[in-house]
Amino acid sequence: MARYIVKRIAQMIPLLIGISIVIFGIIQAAPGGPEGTLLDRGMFVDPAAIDAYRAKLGVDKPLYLQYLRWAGAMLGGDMGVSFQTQRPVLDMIAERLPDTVRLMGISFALAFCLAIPLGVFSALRQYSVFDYVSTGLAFVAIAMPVFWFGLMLQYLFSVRLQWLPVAGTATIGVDTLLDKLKHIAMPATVLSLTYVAGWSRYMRSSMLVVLKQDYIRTAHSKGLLKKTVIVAHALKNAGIPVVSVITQDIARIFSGAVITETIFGWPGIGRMFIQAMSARDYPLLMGILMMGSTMVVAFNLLADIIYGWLDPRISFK
Amino acid sequence: MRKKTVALVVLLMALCAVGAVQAQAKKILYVAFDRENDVLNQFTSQMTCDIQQNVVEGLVITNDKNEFIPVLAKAIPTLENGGIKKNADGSYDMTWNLQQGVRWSDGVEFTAEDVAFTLDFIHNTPDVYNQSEYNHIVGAKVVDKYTIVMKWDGLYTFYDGLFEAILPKHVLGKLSWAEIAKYEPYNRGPQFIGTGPFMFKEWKTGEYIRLVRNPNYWRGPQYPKIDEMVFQFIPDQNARFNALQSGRFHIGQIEATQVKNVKTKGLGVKMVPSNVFYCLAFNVAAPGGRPELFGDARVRKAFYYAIDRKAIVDQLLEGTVKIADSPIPPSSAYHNAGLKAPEYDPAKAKKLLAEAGWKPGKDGVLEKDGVRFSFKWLNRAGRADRIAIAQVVQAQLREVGIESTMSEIDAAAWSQKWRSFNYEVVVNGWFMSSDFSLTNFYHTRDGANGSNNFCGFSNPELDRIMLQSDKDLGFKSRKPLLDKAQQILLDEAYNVFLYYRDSPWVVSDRLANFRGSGTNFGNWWNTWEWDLR
Repeated sequence: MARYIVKRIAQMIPLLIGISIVIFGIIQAAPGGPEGTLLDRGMFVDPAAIDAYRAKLGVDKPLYLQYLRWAGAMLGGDMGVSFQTQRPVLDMIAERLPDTVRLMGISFALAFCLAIPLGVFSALRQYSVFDYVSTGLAFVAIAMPVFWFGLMLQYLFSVRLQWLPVAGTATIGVDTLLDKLKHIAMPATVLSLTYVAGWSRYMRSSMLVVLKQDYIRTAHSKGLLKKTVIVAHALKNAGIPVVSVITQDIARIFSGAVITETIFGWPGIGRMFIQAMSARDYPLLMGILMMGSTMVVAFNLLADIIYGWLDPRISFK
Repeated sequence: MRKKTVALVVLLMALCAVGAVQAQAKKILYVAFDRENDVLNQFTSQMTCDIQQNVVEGLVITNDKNEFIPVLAKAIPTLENGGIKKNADGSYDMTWNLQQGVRWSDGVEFTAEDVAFTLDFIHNTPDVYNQSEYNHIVGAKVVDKYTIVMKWDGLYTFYDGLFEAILPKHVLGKLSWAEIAKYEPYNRGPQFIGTGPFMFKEWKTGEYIRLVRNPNYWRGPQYPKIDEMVFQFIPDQNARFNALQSGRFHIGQIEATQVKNVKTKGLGVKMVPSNVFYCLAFNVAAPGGRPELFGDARVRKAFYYAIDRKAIVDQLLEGTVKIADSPIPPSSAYHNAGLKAPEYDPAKAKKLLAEAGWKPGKDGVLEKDGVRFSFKWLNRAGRADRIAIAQVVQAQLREVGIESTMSEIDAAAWSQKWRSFNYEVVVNGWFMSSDFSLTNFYHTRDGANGSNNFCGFSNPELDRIMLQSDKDLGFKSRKPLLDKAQQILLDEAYNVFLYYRDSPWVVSDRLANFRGSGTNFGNWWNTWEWDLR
């Protein structure tokens, strides 16, 4: 098992190098450069200042040199300096991680707690009113644009009822749990909804397949309690495909949620990513994308390990 | 006994009242702000510096009448007041007399050394966006603590728009120029200090910047009247609108189409006239331009007849802006009020186009020498207002036989294509500085002159007039020059002027002394006298 994990981690290194080359190429291939924000002011800009700015950032150099410089620094643990803020990329990401993980974590937890029982009950009572209603609502949630739902919640709870604040993580000068909950309530609801909808669908169909298996019938005929059959036999097996879906979503825990964070003025990584994208802040973009890629690769490994635990037929060799 | 009790009760009530007043005495202004800053240093920031202006003052600023007014300078030097004198070698000496007794918020005195240091920093930092303007200052001499003489290589109308901020020498003086640009304590606080009415307090990344009252502000202990300012970053325009409507914010900018929906009690909308004009810009230069279409002034003029600008202003922008006939807005004394662009008249448009040789082809689209009058718009994603205008104009042009197609790319890519002449037609907006020099936008491209002329036009007469106007510091002699330049711009129709953008700001009824200004210094020029009642 330990050898397997070490081997998998060793395999991750060339993979991540390949990924870094691809994303470096892609973000540089987009037309426009970091000087765009300067021009966006619509004011007079000294053309010499634009050249000087590009030279200072090093984006006037050939692409492969820029990549080698970036990769060399990265090997030494230096993610580079953001074009916009002149600050180390690592600092900028680290600063936003707590708020990002808090929002994403709460949303995932909420989604998990709702989606699994929802999916299980839907499967157990297939074609019941409950099943139809939850299926219908799931499709509505999947189809509903996130920004629209977010703005509607704001309109209802902030503008009309005035219960919840529109933006931010806390009221300045107030440090209470209630205040923080009030701030996170809407973004977490919006974010978890799509996951609830998606995950519960997977759980339902996976559960339906398992419930029709012979060993479930055997378990019932052994006279086991219905609860035991569902929890110990069906759920564990039905969970296997769901695990890969959920871990792939949870891999985004550090990457944040672009739209939700923008609507609710949440200081997460997703919003920073969008800002970096429009400013062509290459080092910051590389930093965020590499972190995201590493998480996806790492969570793939995690999913494989969980498989082994859920399904004894899988062995690590 | 009874009297005593009554007196005691009255006294207690009075004390409670005082306590209550003191408890709620802290006046915090909440701003729903559209963007987060990159760095606080105004010279290396790539954004407009609204927040910083509350902390850092410059020698001058612009007021709500588009005039430059002195801040850390006692007066703006002019030829009339003797502040500007011509030297024998043709250069000019400009003497700035500074306010005395001004202190940085850490207690150190502000002096002419700080001004000289700021100039040095700009001269040694090539990526300051308008360094070329400062490069006309060829020398500076600190005469005494409160006087600095700058030597200019000539006269320039933009001279009083420079030095919008002053850097603290005692904080940054120990560092090299390159180190200053990266110096985090200044770029993000806590060493971001100024002489202004507010002091930097906190920057919660991605969330807000918080400023607090400077108790030692030089205008007097009664200023500023507000205790704190919080700029909360809410980039999404709909979310910002909701935030303002929720009543938790006192001020924020909204969109023209949202104005009629502001219904919250205690909030009003102020239309702030800005120095931004919107126009259609044609490209006649290589590599992407279409001189065969837009090279003829009659064709360009026909666009005025073909486009119903009134409909765009009244319906699309819901009457929140004014039609523009020139780049200089009516809020400036340099605006040529005598101009009148041709009004919507499709028949006249067709006639002018026919005169220019464009005749309807088989499918109704105009043709000339085998060329169809068909062009492509380059739209910037995310700018809904500009895209809507392009769509309306597209439909109106179809009526006179001009065909056009749409393309849309993101802002950074748009800027690059536009700047490298890889476009045919765009809807564009320009932010004019308060000296209203037209040279950057309309001069023949030639180094720094015409550096923002992304249309490729060239008009020697216009060039001459604009250059002359840039060196003319007298209003009476400069005004006729700019009037003439505006006349030529309208006659030649290099741009089809659409409207001057008035920015709608939601402002709380409690906020006193808000006097919105549409210059690049923005609304925050007089926050020292703002009050929350």
